[in-house]
Amino acid sequence: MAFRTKENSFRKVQLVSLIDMIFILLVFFMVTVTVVRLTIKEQKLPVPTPISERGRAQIVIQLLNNGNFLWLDDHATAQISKVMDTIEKNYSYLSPSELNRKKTEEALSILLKKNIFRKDQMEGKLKHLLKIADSDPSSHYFVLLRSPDEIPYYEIINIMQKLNSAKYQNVLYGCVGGRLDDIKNSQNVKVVIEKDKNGRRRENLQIDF
Amino acid sequence: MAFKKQNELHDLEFPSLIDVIFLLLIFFLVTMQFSITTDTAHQTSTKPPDIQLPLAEGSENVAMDDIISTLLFQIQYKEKNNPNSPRLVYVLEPFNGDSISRGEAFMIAKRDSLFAEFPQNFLKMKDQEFKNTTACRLISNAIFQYKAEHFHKPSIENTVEIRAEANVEFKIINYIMQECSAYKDTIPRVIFRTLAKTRG
Amino acid sequence: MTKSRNKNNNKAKIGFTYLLVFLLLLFFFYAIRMILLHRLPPDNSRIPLTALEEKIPIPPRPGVQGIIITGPVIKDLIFQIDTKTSQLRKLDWRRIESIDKTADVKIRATVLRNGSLEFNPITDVISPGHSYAGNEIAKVVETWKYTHYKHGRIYFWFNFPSSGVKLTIDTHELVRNEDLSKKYFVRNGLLFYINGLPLSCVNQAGRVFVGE
Repeated sequence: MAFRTKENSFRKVQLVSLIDMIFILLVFFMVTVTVVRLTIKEQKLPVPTPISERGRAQIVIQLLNNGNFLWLDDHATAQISKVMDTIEKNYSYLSPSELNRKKTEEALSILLKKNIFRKDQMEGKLKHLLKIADSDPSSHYFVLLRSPDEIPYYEIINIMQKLNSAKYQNVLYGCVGGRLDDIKNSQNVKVVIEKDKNGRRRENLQIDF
Repeated sequence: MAFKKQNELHDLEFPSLIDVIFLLLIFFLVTMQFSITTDTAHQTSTKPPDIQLPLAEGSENVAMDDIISTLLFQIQYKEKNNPNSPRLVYVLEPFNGDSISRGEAFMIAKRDSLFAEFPQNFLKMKDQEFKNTTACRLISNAIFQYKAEHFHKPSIENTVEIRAEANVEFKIINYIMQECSAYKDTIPRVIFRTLAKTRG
Repeated sequence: MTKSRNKNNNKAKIGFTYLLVFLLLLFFFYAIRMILLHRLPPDNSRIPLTALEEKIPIPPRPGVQGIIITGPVIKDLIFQIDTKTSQLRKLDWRRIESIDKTADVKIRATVLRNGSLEFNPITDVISPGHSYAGNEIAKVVETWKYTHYKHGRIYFWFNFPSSGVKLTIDTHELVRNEDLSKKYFVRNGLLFYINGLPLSCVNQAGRVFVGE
């Protein structure tokens, strides 16, 4: 008798094995995936201590008691430089000390008129600075924060923390105590021409307290 | 007629095997990452901090048990959560050069009266008057002694830590920084303790 | 029997293919991992056997006695042909050379404080025997204007028959304008506007002797 071979039935999906494997994987994922939760952690923020000499900075931020701030950078220096060139031309008949005093007065007047900003503008200015720093990894910035005694120190920490977020960590900062009056009462504000580390000549603004 | 039931050898379930292998492969591809795990990844803070530190992302996490390894000044309100109460400064030091927890150091500071109160009108004081207050003299003596014992040469590792309520006036912080700067490059940095929200 | 053998063969082939694909995927995975590892900075890809003492430099520190705020770069001023001038004309060297190959023309001119050139086409253009070339060159040169950083005497020598330097410009009598701030340095740029003359045939720092 010739038995007809049974036709192969279609392979059924091995449900039991499949479910077993899925459950194993599910349990595995449940165990290994860490649930993202925000925890408050104490951290350390290093800040350099001041030195008792004339310091250098690319940007100076002087906090004011009313929440506003003075922001001095290369734009402020360019403004002062123009004013000083004009004074040099128009007041050349004055003696050197008188000329220096005139330049200082005018420079301070310009500095205080055109470079004081509102509290809500700080975020924008810091963002702009970070944008420039992030666009050029070879650039380096040092931001000097000057604060009056009465300001709660968390405000300074806030600013430093934002500066810390530069992509290439090329924005450094330091903070010292100081008031706007120190700048206002400065006896010597001048533009000095110095070579930077790349050998380029720059007009730097020198303010002595 | 009795037909012997043939014991069929079960074939290897190739499709299921391959499916599972692919699943595992994809899983490992996705989860493998080149990250350096640190001890602090396991730290979870369930207790709220004793004082309200300023919120900021720092560059380094505090050690798991909050071990203090250098001179730390803790500045807080005399009355908890009352910003109008006088400011107190506590001097916390590692014990005999060994690291101890901040809690223990705080107890030692209380026991040994290594704390002082700033006068209520300290903001209005002139610089010299402020420097002569008990609290400021405690700070400057603590830095002097600690520096003499532990900071023998200028190094970036020489630091003093400040752990202060967020609303503490900058005058006190500035004083500590100025005292450190009196030793020039010996103490080139201070460390602010801050609170940062991070993924756990 | 043959059918089952065929079936087994097929199964083996499929199995083998799957295994091959799996091995290939594994290989790609490790290849990508190696590439990523190589791209990482050395500190992050290797755990050192011994802990090296890191020499971190002391960071810049803020000063309390004064500040020097870095300002803008002072760019040098270039004394050169002011191409923004509307009447500026280019001298076609090849055209004049084709008309008069042996032309020898000297021009004695004055750069005024506003940068324009001034000279007398009769007395200040010396081109004996080459009047056509002299006139043509003079017509073009009088349209040249310079950036207003220097003033004084300037001399041109258009030496067509020369095999080496064909144009010499003498600027040693030029001085910087007094109204310029001392902080600026003034350098010489391109002092001629000529088409068809290679730079190697020009000497801008030479001396030209023109009879008075």
